[in-house]
Amino acid sequence: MSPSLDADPAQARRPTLKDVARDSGYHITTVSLALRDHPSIPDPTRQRIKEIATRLGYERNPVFHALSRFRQQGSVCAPAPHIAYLENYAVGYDLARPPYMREIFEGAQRQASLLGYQLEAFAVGEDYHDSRSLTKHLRENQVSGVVIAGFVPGFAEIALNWDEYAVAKIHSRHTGPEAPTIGNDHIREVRTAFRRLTALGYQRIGMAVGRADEDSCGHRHTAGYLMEETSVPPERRVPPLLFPYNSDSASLAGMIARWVRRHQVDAVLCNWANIRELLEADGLRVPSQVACACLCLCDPAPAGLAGIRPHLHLLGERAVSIVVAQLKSGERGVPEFASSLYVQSVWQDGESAPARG
Amino acid sequence: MSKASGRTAKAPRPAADKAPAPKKYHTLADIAAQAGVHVTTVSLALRDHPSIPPATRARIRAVARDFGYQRDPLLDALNFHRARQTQQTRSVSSAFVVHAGTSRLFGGFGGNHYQPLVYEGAKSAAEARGHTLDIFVVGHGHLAPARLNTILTARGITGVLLSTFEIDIEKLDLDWGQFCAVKIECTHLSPHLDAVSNDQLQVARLAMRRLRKLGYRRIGLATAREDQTRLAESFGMGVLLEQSSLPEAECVPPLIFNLADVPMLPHLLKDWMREHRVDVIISNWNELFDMFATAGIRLPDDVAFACLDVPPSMPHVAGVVQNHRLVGKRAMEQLAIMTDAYQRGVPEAQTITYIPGYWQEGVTAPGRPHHQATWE
Repeated sequence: MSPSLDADPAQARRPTLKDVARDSGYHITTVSLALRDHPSIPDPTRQRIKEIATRLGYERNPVFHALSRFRQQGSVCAPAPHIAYLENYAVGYDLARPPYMREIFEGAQRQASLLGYQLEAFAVGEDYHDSRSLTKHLRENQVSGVVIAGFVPGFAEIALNWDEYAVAKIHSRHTGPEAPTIGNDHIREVRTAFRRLTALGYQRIGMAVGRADEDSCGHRHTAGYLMEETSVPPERRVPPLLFPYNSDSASLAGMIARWVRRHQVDAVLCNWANIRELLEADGLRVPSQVACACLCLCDPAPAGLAGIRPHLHLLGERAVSIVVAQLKSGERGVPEFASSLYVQSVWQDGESAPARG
Repeated sequence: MSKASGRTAKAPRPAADKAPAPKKYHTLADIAAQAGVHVTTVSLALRDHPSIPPATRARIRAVARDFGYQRDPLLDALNFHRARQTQQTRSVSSAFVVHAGTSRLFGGFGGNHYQPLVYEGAKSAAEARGHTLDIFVVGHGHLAPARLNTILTARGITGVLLSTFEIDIEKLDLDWGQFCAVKIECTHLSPHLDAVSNDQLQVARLAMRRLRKLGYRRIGLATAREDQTRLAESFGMGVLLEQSSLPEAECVPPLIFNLADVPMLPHLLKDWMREHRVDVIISNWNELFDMFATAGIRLPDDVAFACLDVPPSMPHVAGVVQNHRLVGKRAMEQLAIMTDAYQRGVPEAQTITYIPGYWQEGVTAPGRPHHQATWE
């Protein structure tokens, strides 16, 4: 009745050559040769053994296959297997990654090399890879580990045959597959920031975040903000400002300033690192008229900006660890119940949000 | 002097008089020889085993770095595979620590469904690795933290799972530097260890969405204030988030009651339902189910009901089934990884893992055909 969340460990074990040998009554070396179509094994025998292997669900483990192949060739060391790191924001080739993407990528890269893998970045998009070309490339290079890294909503998406891959996602909640997902904990970040600003004496705290960011993180900024707002009297609540998709700094500055003036916001929480410039662009003085704090401070952070410092490198690390754990155990595809991992962040005071005397 | 090694030789060997090709690949043995220690010391040091003095670990790491030593993922995978195939001879024991004061939530073992399921999941994951999992009860009339610390140390237990603690327990004082530990659900409890929890936010959102699809338009959350605090208001946030994209007319303020008011609950419930024209109640309180009868509320005629944590014993009740067993399993798996890597103490940044639940149809919340959205 209930879904099979806990497969019996005996069944969870992958069938090996030994199992095929036992079931077919042949010796293990016969089975091995037969499955590799060795001419020394008579055709009907090969056929019979293959049928039994299929019935048992025997699959060659690509990792061991690679290992034994390299050992036969006389070199102990195989080249590091690759893990694909997919981004849909045209970065990784010519364009530099924005700082937060860079931090995540570097974490992933470090963890991959620590575990003996090599991370290979791919851009998905109009001028880069599509599902078909990527499938071809991954197959040709025997890549079966994939990290879907911070896909930006509104840009290209991808559909691979996920059953063939070990997958983890970083944010990217707006797009498939339903794989284990890693993120920084936006809910707690917003709640921590809101409480800190309240403690510093701010009365009308407003949150301004990108709609695209919300879609990719599962609206977790909004969830935390709405909850914190229930603790202030209704007349002091400020409706959150969600920037439309593809906003540029110029249109954004006007939008934020209008919202700040209209709702008499005294402290702005924003996930964009240039929040101070955006406010000042429209003639608002920071912090004397309005304070601000950034929900995603990463290096190089603007000097004096208060806000939340996420451990972004840990996002990349965790994503790679999850993929590697699956590669090691030979698991492929997405689980029935994919877990979500949230890494906690810390608050950092700054002159953009001083205590109000 | 090299002789072709028989039939398996694939390529001609280099002539014996030539200098051996520089080694492209370094093994633990090379590092051991260079550092003047045994190969097992190198293995332990590179895995940060606490039995190797920090200075020695650093020295061995430096040698490994100079050699450009890299872990071989293929051998790693093979080891993992072999460890799974062979029965472990040494038995590793981990602790499942529960608090004596959580009887309301669990009714002890065998009472409420939550704790036994979590334990079962954790135990199955432990057994799959040849580990055992022992239960320890701390608090009122049971073990004091210091005593638990002594027992765990004496038994050589390094892995600790902390299962749900009530909110009035803010801290558990163990010598955390000695232990690898994962918390289950009790994210409020200090220190900030990694935690695994049901995804209560997703549970509430899923319930709201499914009920709306079934045709309900006044969905009301009823829960205890203590539960809200314990679960970091996740149910409340889920409801708020769903309501933020619903018309104003569909937003019912939740009924948050204190545990002290439970005797009054049938009245509170009735008043709240009437005032806000609630057409379906969502709650993690299965006790409400019994309360409706005493309050003279007919289910599902007066109001429908969907549980946010349907126990296995109530297959007829609509609601979200939480994957308690999977929570226990994942927590134990994470603990095993940490134990293997000797990751003791409190992590640099806490990670919380959430496990989603799934919807179960039931007679307590039948579809309302006249109200069902036609576009879905």
